[in-house]
Amino acid sequence: MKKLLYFLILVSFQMSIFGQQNCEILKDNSKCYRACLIMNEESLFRQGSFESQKHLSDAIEMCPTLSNAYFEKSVAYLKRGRFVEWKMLMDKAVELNPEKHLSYRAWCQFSFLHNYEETIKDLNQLSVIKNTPFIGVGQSGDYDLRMVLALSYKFTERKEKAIDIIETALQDEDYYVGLYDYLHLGVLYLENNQLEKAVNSFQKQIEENELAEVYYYLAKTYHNLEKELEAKRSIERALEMYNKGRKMHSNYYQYADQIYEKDILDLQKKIG
Amino acid sequence: MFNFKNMSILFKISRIWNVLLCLAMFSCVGTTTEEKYYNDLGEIRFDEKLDDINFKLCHEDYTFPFNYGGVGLVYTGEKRELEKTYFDNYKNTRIEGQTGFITIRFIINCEGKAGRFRVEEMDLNLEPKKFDDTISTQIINITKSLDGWQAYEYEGITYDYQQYLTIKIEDGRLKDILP
Repeated sequence: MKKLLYFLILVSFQMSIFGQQNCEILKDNSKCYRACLIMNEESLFRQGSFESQKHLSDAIEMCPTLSNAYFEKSVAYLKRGRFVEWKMLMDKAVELNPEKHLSYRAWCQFSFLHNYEETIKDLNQLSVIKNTPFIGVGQSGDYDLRMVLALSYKFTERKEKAIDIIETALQDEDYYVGLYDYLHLGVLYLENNQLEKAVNSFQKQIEENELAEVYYYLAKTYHNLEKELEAKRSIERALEMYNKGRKMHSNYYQYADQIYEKDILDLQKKIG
Repeated sequence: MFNFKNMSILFKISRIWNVLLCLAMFSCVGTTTEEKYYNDLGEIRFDEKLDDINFKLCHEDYTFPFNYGGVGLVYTGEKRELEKTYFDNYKNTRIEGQTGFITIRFIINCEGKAGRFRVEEMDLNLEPKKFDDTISTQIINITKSLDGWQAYEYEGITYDYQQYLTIKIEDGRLKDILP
Protein backbone atom coordinates (compact mmCIF):
# COMPACT_ATOMS: atom_id res chain seq x y z
CA MET A 1 0.00 0.00 0.00
CA LYS A 2 2.83 2.34 0.96
CA LYS A 3 4.57 1.57 -2.34
CA LEU A 4 1.39 2.24 -4.28
CA LEU A 5 0.92 5.55 -2.51
CA TYR A 6 4.50 6.55 -3.29
CA PHE A 7 4.02 5.61 -6.92
CA LEU A 8 0.82 7.64 -7.17
CA ILE A 9 2.61 10.64 -5.68
CA LEU A 10 5.32 10.24 -8.32
CA VAL A 11 2.82 10.04 -11.14
CA SER A 12 0.88 13.03 -9.89
CA PHE A 13 4.10 15.06 -9.56
CA GLN A 14 4.76 14.59 -13.23
CA MET A 15 1.30 15.63 -14.21
CA SER A 16 -0.36 18.99 -14.02
CA ILE A 17 0.83 20.67 -10.83
CA PHE A 18 -2.12 22.89 -10.00
CA GLY A 19 -4.85 20.36 -10.69
CA GLN A 20 -7.75 21.13 -12.97
CA GLN A 21 -9.20 24.57 -13.46
CA ASN A 22 -12.91 25.07 -12.91
CA CYS A 23 -14.04 25.79 -16.49
CA GLU A 24 -17.63 26.55 -15.54
CA ILE A 25 -16.69 30.15 -14.76
CA LEU A 26 -15.86 30.57 -18.46
CA LYS A 27 -19.19 29.28 -19.74
CA ASP A 28 -20.16 32.69 -21.12
CA ASN A 29 -17.18 32.57 -23.49
CA SER A 30 -17.61 29.46 -25.63
CA LYS A 31 -14.09 29.50 -27.11
CA CYS A 32 -12.36 29.92 -23.77
CA TYR A 33 -14.67 27.39 -22.14
CA ARG A 34 -13.71 24.83 -24.78
CA ALA A 35 -10.02 25.78 -24.48
CA CYS A 36 -10.25 25.29 -20.73
CA LEU A 37 -11.64 21.79 -21.20
CA ILE A 38 -8.80 20.95 -23.59
CA MET A 39 -6.31 22.34 -21.10
CA ASN A 40 -7.75 20.12 -18.38
CA GLU A 41 -7.52 17.07 -20.65
CA GLU A 42 -3.76 17.64 -20.59
CA SER A 43 -3.65 16.17 -17.10
CA LEU A 44 -4.27 12.73 -18.66
CA PHE A 45 -0.76 12.83 -20.09
CA ARG A 46 2.72 12.89 -18.58
CA GLN A 47 4.12 16.39 -18.15
CA GLY A 48 6.56 17.12 -20.99
CA SER A 49 5.10 14.51 -23.33
CA PHE A 50 4.14 15.62 -26.83
CA GLU A 51 0.46 15.06 -26.09
CA SER A 52 0.57 17.17 -22.95
CA GLN A 53 2.30 20.15 -24.57
CA LYS A 54 0.08 19.91 -27.66
CA HIS A 55 -3.09 20.15 -25.58
CA LEU A 56 -1.75 23.28 -23.88
CA SER A 57 -0.70 24.88 -27.17
CA ASP A 58 -4.13 24.19 -28.62
CA ALA A 59 -5.80 25.71 -25.57
CA ILE A 60 -3.62 28.83 -25.90
CA GLU A 61 -4.42 29.14 -29.59
CA MET A 62 -8.12 28.86 -28.92
CA CYS A 63 -8.14 31.23 -25.95
CA PRO A 64 -5.02 33.45 -25.80
CA THR A 65 -6.11 34.91 -22.45
CA LEU A 66 -6.14 31.58 -20.59
CA SER A 67 -3.25 32.28 -18.20
CA ASN A 68 -3.16 28.79 -16.68
CA ALA A 69 -2.41 27.22 -20.06
CA TYR A 70 0.77 29.34 -20.45
CA PHE A 71 1.72 28.53 -16.89
CA GLU A 72 1.17 24.75 -17.25
CA LYS A 73 3.05 24.71 -20.54
CA SER A 74 6.00 26.54 -18.98
CA VAL A 75 6.60 23.98 -16.23
CA ALA A 76 7.88 21.24 -18.52
CA TYR A 77 10.49 23.67 -19.93
CA LEU A 78 11.57 24.73 -16.45
CA LYS A 79 12.22 21.17 -15.27
CA ARG A 80 14.39 20.49 -18.32
CA GLY A 81 16.55 23.58 -17.95
CA ARG A 82 15.00 25.35 -20.92
CA PHE A 83 14.75 28.62 -19.09
CA VAL A 84 14.32 31.00 -22.03
CA GLU A 85 11.15 29.22 -23.13
CA TRP A 86 9.99 28.85 -19.52
CA LYS A 87 10.34 32.58 -18.89
CA MET A 88 8.56 33.63 -22.08
CA LEU A 89 5.52 31.53 -21.15
CA MET A 90 5.56 32.55 -17.48
CA ASP A 91 5.82 36.22 -18.40
CA LYS A 92 2.69 35.84 -20.47
CA ALA A 93 0.86 34.10 -17.58
CA VAL A 94 1.95 36.89 -15.20
CA GLU A 95 0.93 39.59 -17.67
CA LEU A 96 -2.57 38.07 -17.88
CA ASN A 97 -3.00 37.40 -14.18
CA PRO A 98 -0.21 38.75 -11.95
CA GLU A 99 -1.96 38.00 -8.68
CA LYS A 100 -2.23 34.33 -9.57
CA HIS A 101 1.17 33.70 -11.19
CA LEU A 102 3.73 36.08 -9.66
CA SER A 103 4.34 33.80 -6.70
CA TYR A 104 5.29 30.86 -8.92
CA ARG A 105 7.61 32.92 -11.11
CA ALA A 106 9.29 34.32 -7.99
CA TRP A 107 9.61 30.88 -6.44
CA CYS A 108 11.23 29.42 -9.55
CA GLN A 109 13.64 32.33 -9.95
CA PHE A 110 14.66 31.75 -6.33
CA SER A 111 14.95 27.97 -6.24
CA PHE A 112 15.96 26.98 -9.77
CA LEU A 113 18.15 29.95 -10.69
CA HIS A 114 19.21 31.73 -7.49
CA ASN A 115 18.10 34.85 -9.34
CA TYR A 116 17.48 36.80 -6.16
CA GLU A 117 16.96 40.33 -7.49
CA GLU A 118 14.21 39.08 -9.82
CA THR A 119 12.64 37.17 -6.90
CA ILE A 120 12.61 40.33 -4.79
CA LYS A 121 11.01 42.35 -7.63
CA ASP A 122 8.23 39.80 -8.11
CA LEU A 123 7.46 39.33 -4.43
CA ASN A 124 7.40 43.06 -3.76
CA GLN A 125 5.03 43.50 -6.69
CA LEU A 126 2.83 40.73 -5.29
CA SER A 127 2.83 42.42 -1.86
CA VAL A 128 1.54 45.62 -3.45
CA ILE A 129 -1.22 43.72 -5.28
CA LYS A 130 -2.31 41.65 -2.26
CA ASN A 131 -1.81 44.39 0.31
CA THR A 132 -1.64 41.84 3.16
CA PRO A 133 1.37 40.54 5.13
CA PHE A 134 0.67 36.96 3.98
CA ILE A 135 1.22 36.78 0.22
CA GLY A 136 1.32 33.03 -0.27
CA VAL A 137 3.40 29.87 0.00
CA GLY A 138 6.21 28.65 -2.28
CA GLN A 139 5.28 25.98 -4.82
CA SER A 140 7.00 23.17 -2.92
CA GLY A 141 4.95 24.02 0.17
CA ASP A 142 8.10 24.36 2.28
CA TYR A 143 8.05 28.12 2.71
CA ASP A 144 5.89 31.15 3.43
CA LEU A 145 6.92 33.57 0.67
CA ARG A 146 8.14 36.06 3.28
CA MET A 147 10.91 33.55 4.05
CA VAL A 148 11.76 33.39 0.33
CA LEU A 149 11.93 37.20 0.26
CA ALA A 150 14.11 37.27 3.38
CA LEU A 151 16.52 34.67 1.97
CA SER A 152 16.75 36.61 -1.29
CA TYR A 153 17.85 39.66 0.70
CA LYS A 154 20.33 37.52 2.61
CA PHE A 155 21.96 36.28 -0.58
CA THR A 156 22.22 39.84 -1.89
CA GLU A 157 24.14 40.97 1.18
CA ARG A 158 21.26 42.47 3.14
CA LYS A 159 21.32 40.17 6.17
CA GLU A 160 19.91 42.65 8.71
CA LYS A 161 16.90 43.19 6.49
CA ALA A 162 16.47 39.42 6.11
CA ILE A 163 16.51 38.91 9.90
CA ASP A 164 14.03 41.75 10.36
CA ILE A 165 11.58 40.26 7.83
CA ILE A 166 11.71 36.81 9.45
CA GLU A 167 11.42 38.08 13.02
CA THR A 168 8.43 40.22 12.06
CA ALA A 169 6.79 37.42 10.08
CA LEU A 170 7.15 34.94 12.94
CA GLN A 171 5.05 37.29 15.11
CA ASP A 172 2.19 37.16 12.59
CA GLU A 173 -0.49 34.63 13.49
CA ASP A 174 -1.07 34.00 9.77
CA TYR A 175 2.57 33.04 9.25
CA TYR A 176 3.00 29.63 7.64
CA VAL A 177 5.85 28.01 9.58
CA GLY A 178 7.93 26.12 7.06
CA LEU A 179 10.02 22.99 7.41
CA TYR A 180 13.34 24.83 7.64
CA ASP A 181 12.50 28.31 8.97
CA TYR A 182 14.40 28.12 12.26
CA LEU A 183 17.39 26.62 10.48
CA HIS A 184 17.58 29.58 8.08
CA LEU A 185 17.06 32.10 10.88
CA GLY A 186 19.74 30.38 12.96
CA VAL A 187 22.22 30.48 10.07
CA LEU A 188 21.51 34.19 9.65
CA TYR A 189 22.20 34.80 13.36
CA LEU A 190 25.38 32.71 13.10
CA GLU A 191 26.59 34.72 10.10
CA ASN A 192 25.70 37.92 11.96
CA ASN A 193 27.69 36.73 14.99
CA GLN A 194 24.59 36.56 17.23
CA LEU A 195 25.65 33.16 18.54
CA GLU A 196 23.31 32.64 21.52
CA LYS A 197 20.33 33.52 19.32
CA ALA A 198 21.62 31.08 16.72
CA VAL A 199 21.76 28.23 19.26
CA ASN A 200 18.18 28.98 20.39
CA SER A 201 16.93 29.01 16.82
CA PHE A 202 18.66 25.70 16.00
CA GLN A 203 17.14 24.13 19.09
CA LYS A 204 13.69 25.20 17.92
CA GLN A 205 14.48 23.68 14.51
CA ILE A 206 15.44 20.38 16.18
CA GLU A 207 12.06 20.34 17.94
CA GLU A 208 10.23 21.06 14.66
CA ASN A 209 12.23 19.04 12.15
CA GLU A 210 15.52 17.36 13.04
CA LEU A 211 17.98 17.07 10.14
CA ALA A 212 21.71 16.92 9.38
CA GLU A 213 21.93 20.61 8.44
CA VAL A 214 20.80 21.89 11.83
CA TYR A 215 23.44 19.84 13.67
CA TYR A 216 26.11 20.97 11.21
CA TYR A 217 25.38 24.66 11.81
CA LEU A 218 24.94 24.05 15.54
CA ALA A 219 28.43 22.50 15.60
CA LYS A 220 29.79 25.57 13.83
CA THR A 221 28.12 27.86 16.35
CA TYR A 222 29.41 25.90 19.35
CA HIS A 223 32.88 25.92 17.80
CA ASN A 224 32.71 29.71 17.55
CA LEU A 225 31.55 29.84 21.18
CA GLU A 226 34.57 27.64 22.04
CA LYS A 227 32.26 24.93 23.41
CA GLU A 228 34.25 22.14 21.81
CA LEU A 229 32.54 19.18 23.46
CA GLU A 230 29.10 20.33 22.25
CA ALA A 231 30.57 21.09 18.83
CA LYS A 232 32.02 17.58 18.58
CA ARG A 233 28.75 15.94 19.61
CA SER A 234 26.79 18.03 17.15
CA ILE A 235 29.00 17.29 14.17
CA GLU A 236 28.88 13.56 14.94
CA ARG A 237 25.09 13.80 15.04
CA ALA A 238 25.13 15.69 11.73
CA LEU A 239 27.05 12.87 10.05
CA GLU A 240 24.77 10.24 11.57
CA MET A 241 21.66 12.05 10.30
CA TYR A 242 23.23 12.60 6.89
CA ASN A 243 23.99 8.91 6.52
CA LYS A 244 20.42 8.07 7.51
CA GLY A 245 19.12 10.41 4.79
CA ARG A 246 17.70 12.97 7.25
CA LYS A 247 18.85 15.95 5.22
CA MET A 248 17.56 18.61 2.87
CA HIS A 249 16.93 17.21 -0.57
CA SER A 250 15.06 18.13 -3.71
CA ASN A 251 15.27 16.45 -7.10
CA TYR A 252 15.01 19.85 -8.73
CA TYR A 253 17.26 22.29 -6.90
CA GLN A 254 19.64 22.80 -4.03
CA TYR A 255 18.09 24.33 -0.91
CA ALA A 256 19.46 27.44 0.77
CA ASP A 257 21.82 26.32 3.56
CA GLN A 258 21.85 22.73 2.27
CA ILE A 259 25.06 20.81 3.06
CA TYR A 260 26.84 17.74 1.70
CA GLU A 261 28.91 14.98 3.29
CA LYS A 262 32.16 16.78 2.44
CA ASP A 263 31.04 19.85 4.41
CA ILE A 264 30.47 17.70 7.50
CA LEU A 265 33.80 15.87 7.18
CA ASP A 266 35.69 19.15 6.67
CA LEU A 267 34.13 20.70 9.77
CA GLN A 268 34.76 17.52 11.75
CA LYS A 269 38.48 17.78 10.89
CA LYS A 270 38.51 21.42 11.96
CA ILE A 271 36.81 20.68 15.28
CA GLY A 272 39.10 17.68 15.86
CA MET B 1 24.97 3.04 -10.74
CA PHE B 2 21.90 4.47 -9.11
CA ASN B 3 18.65 2.67 -9.10
CA PHE B 4 15.12 3.88 -8.78
CA LYS B 5 12.56 1.23 -9.44
CA ASN B 6 9.52 3.42 -9.75
CA MET B 7 11.10 5.49 -12.50
CA SER B 8 11.27 2.54 -14.83
CA ILE B 9 7.76 1.36 -14.00
CA LEU B 10 6.51 4.86 -14.51
CA PHE B 11 8.01 5.15 -17.95
CA LYS B 12 6.81 1.71 -19.01
CA ILE B 13 3.28 2.66 -18.01
CA SER B 14 3.64 6.07 -19.58
CA ARG B 15 4.70 4.49 -22.88
CA ILE B 16 1.65 2.25 -22.96
CA TRP B 17 -0.51 5.09 -21.78
CA ASN B 18 0.73 7.36 -24.54
CA VAL B 19 -0.09 4.74 -27.15
CA LEU B 20 -3.56 4.16 -25.76
CA LEU B 21 -4.34 7.82 -25.48
CA CYS B 22 -2.84 8.94 -28.74
CA LEU B 23 -6.25 8.53 -30.32
CA ALA B 24 -7.34 11.48 -28.21
CA MET B 25 -4.89 13.55 -30.24
CA PHE B 26 -7.08 13.23 -33.28
CA SER B 27 -10.00 14.68 -31.42
CA CYS B 28 -8.01 17.83 -30.58
CA VAL B 29 -9.42 20.82 -32.29
CA GLY B 30 -6.34 23.05 -32.38
CA THR B 31 -3.98 23.35 -35.30
CA THR B 32 -0.77 24.47 -33.60
CA THR B 33 2.54 23.21 -34.92
CA GLU B 34 4.23 21.56 -31.97
CA GLU B 35 7.92 20.82 -31.64
CA LYS B 36 8.28 17.12 -32.59
CA TYR B 37 9.88 14.58 -30.31
CA TYR B 38 9.64 10.88 -29.45
CA ASN B 39 8.84 10.82 -25.80
CA ASP B 40 9.86 13.91 -23.90
CA LEU B 41 10.32 17.64 -24.43
CA GLY B 42 13.89 17.49 -23.12
CA GLU B 43 15.22 14.78 -25.41
CA ILE B 44 18.22 15.65 -27.60
CA ARG B 45 18.36 14.19 -31.08
CA PHE B 46 21.64 13.28 -32.76
CA ASP B 47 23.03 16.10 -34.92
CA GLU B 48 25.88 15.04 -37.20
CA LYS B 49 27.25 18.60 -37.22
CA LEU B 50 27.54 18.74 -33.43
CA ASP B 51 27.70 15.26 -31.99
CA ASP B 52 30.21 12.44 -31.65
CA ILE B 53 28.98 9.55 -33.79
CA ASN B 54 30.51 7.10 -31.30
CA PHE B 55 28.29 8.34 -28.46
CA LYS B 56 25.42 5.83 -28.48
CA LEU B 57 22.13 5.67 -26.62
CA CYS B 58 20.53 2.38 -25.60
CA HIS B 59 17.02 3.77 -26.10
CA GLU B 60 17.01 6.59 -28.62
CA ASP B 61 13.26 7.13 -28.29
CA TYR B 62 13.13 6.90 -24.53
CA THR B 63 15.05 9.41 -22.42
CA PHE B 64 13.73 11.15 -19.32
CA PRO B 65 14.79 14.18 -17.25
CA PHE B 66 17.22 13.51 -14.39
CA ASN B 67 14.88 15.15 -11.89
CA TYR B 68 11.88 12.92 -12.55
CA GLY B 69 10.97 10.11 -10.23
CA GLY B 70 12.78 10.85 -7.01
CA VAL B 71 16.49 10.76 -7.79
CA GLY B 72 17.76 14.24 -8.66
CA LEU B 73 21.34 15.10 -9.46
CA VAL B 74 23.64 12.09 -9.02
CA TYR B 75 27.39 12.66 -9.24
CA THR B 76 30.32 10.86 -7.62
CA GLY B 77 31.41 13.04 -4.68
CA GLU B 78 28.05 14.85 -4.79
CA LYS B 79 27.54 18.47 -5.77
CA ARG B 80 30.70 19.66 -4.00
CA GLU B 81 32.91 17.59 -6.32
CA LEU B 82 31.14 19.00 -9.35
CA GLU B 83 31.57 22.57 -8.05
CA LYS B 84 35.24 21.94 -7.31
CA THR B 85 35.88 20.90 -10.91
CA TYR B 86 34.41 24.17 -12.19
CA PHE B 87 36.05 26.44 -9.62
CA ASP B 88 39.46 24.74 -9.97
CA ASN B 89 39.50 24.93 -13.75
CA TYR B 90 37.69 28.16 -14.64
CA LYS B 91 39.96 31.18 -15.00
CA ASN B 92 38.14 34.08 -13.35
CA THR B 93 38.67 37.33 -15.19
CA ARG B 94 36.64 40.43 -14.43
CA ILE B 95 34.84 41.48 -17.61
CA GLU B 96 32.10 44.01 -16.97
CA GLY B 97 28.71 43.14 -18.44
CA GLN B 98 29.50 39.45 -18.82
CA THR B 99 26.67 38.51 -16.49
CA GLY B 100 23.95 35.90 -16.80
CA PHE B 101 23.51 32.16 -17.13
CA ILE B 102 24.97 29.45 -19.35
CA THR B 103 22.88 26.28 -19.42
CA ILE B 104 24.31 23.11 -20.88
CA ARG B 105 21.85 20.31 -21.55
CA PHE B 106 23.17 16.86 -22.34
CA ILE B 107 22.48 13.14 -22.19
CA ILE B 108 23.99 10.62 -19.77
CA ASN B 109 23.85 7.39 -21.70
CA CYS B 110 23.39 3.83 -20.52
CA GLU B 111 27.18 3.55 -20.04
CA GLY B 112 27.22 6.58 -17.71
CA LYS B 113 28.97 8.73 -20.33
CA ALA B 114 27.93 12.28 -21.28
CA GLY B 115 27.27 13.49 -24.81
CA ARG B 116 25.06 15.56 -27.16
CA PHE B 117 25.83 18.83 -25.40
CA ARG B 118 23.55 21.79 -26.16
CA VAL B 119 24.30 25.29 -24.93
CA GLU B 120 21.92 28.14 -24.13
CA GLU B 121 23.18 31.53 -22.92
CA MET B 122 20.95 34.06 -21.14
CA ASP B 123 21.05 37.37 -19.33
CA LEU B 124 19.58 37.77 -15.82
CA ASN B 125 16.19 38.46 -17.38
CA LEU B 126 16.48 35.03 -19.07
CA GLU B 127 16.63 36.52 -22.53
CA PRO B 128 19.13 35.01 -25.01
CA LYS B 129 22.55 36.65 -25.02
CA LYS B 130 26.02 35.75 -26.24
CA PHE B 131 28.88 35.58 -23.76
CA ASP B 132 32.49 36.22 -24.78
CA ASP B 133 34.00 33.08 -26.26
CA THR B 134 36.68 33.07 -23.54
CA ILE B 135 33.90 32.44 -21.02
CA SER B 136 31.56 30.08 -22.87
CA THR B 137 34.38 27.94 -24.29
CA GLN B 138 35.79 27.38 -20.81
CA ILE B 139 32.38 26.44 -19.40
CA ILE B 140 31.65 24.02 -22.23
CA ASN B 141 35.07 22.37 -21.98
CA ILE B 142 34.82 21.94 -18.20
CA THR B 143 31.33 20.47 -18.57
CA LYS B 144 32.56 18.01 -21.19
CA SER B 145 35.40 16.96 -18.88
CA LEU B 146 33.12 15.97 -15.96
CA ASP B 147 33.47 12.26 -15.34
CA GLY B 148 31.43 11.52 -12.22
CA TRP B 149 28.12 10.75 -13.94
CA GLN B 150 26.40 7.44 -13.37
CA ALA B 151 24.09 5.43 -15.59
CA TYR B 152 20.56 4.62 -14.51
CA GLU B 153 19.96 0.90 -14.09
CA TYR B 154 16.91 -1.15 -13.29
CA GLU B 155 16.69 -4.94 -13.23
CA GLY B 156 19.85 -5.33 -15.26
CA ILE B 157 18.78 -2.88 -17.97
CA THR B 158 20.46 0.49 -18.24
CA TYR B 159 18.71 3.62 -19.48
CA ASP B 160 19.72 7.02 -20.85
CA TYR B 161 18.61 10.26 -19.19
CA GLN B 162 18.66 14.01 -19.74
CA GLN B 163 20.85 16.18 -17.52
CA TYR B 164 21.37 19.91 -17.38
CA LEU B 165 23.72 22.25 -15.52
CA THR B 166 23.35 26.01 -15.30
CA ILE B 167 26.34 28.19 -14.57
CA LYS B 168 25.80 31.68 -13.19
CA ILE B 169 28.39 34.23 -14.27
CA GLU B 170 28.79 37.70 -12.75
CA ASP B 171 31.03 40.17 -14.60
CA GLY B 172 32.99 37.29 -16.08
CA ARG B 173 33.41 35.50 -12.76
CA LEU B 174 31.99 32.14 -11.83
CA LYS B 175 29.27 32.69 -9.26
CA ASP B 176 27.10 29.59 -8.93
CA ILE B 177 26.56 26.08 -10.27
CA LEU B 178 22.94 24.94 -10.55
CA PRO B 179 20.85 22.92 -9.84
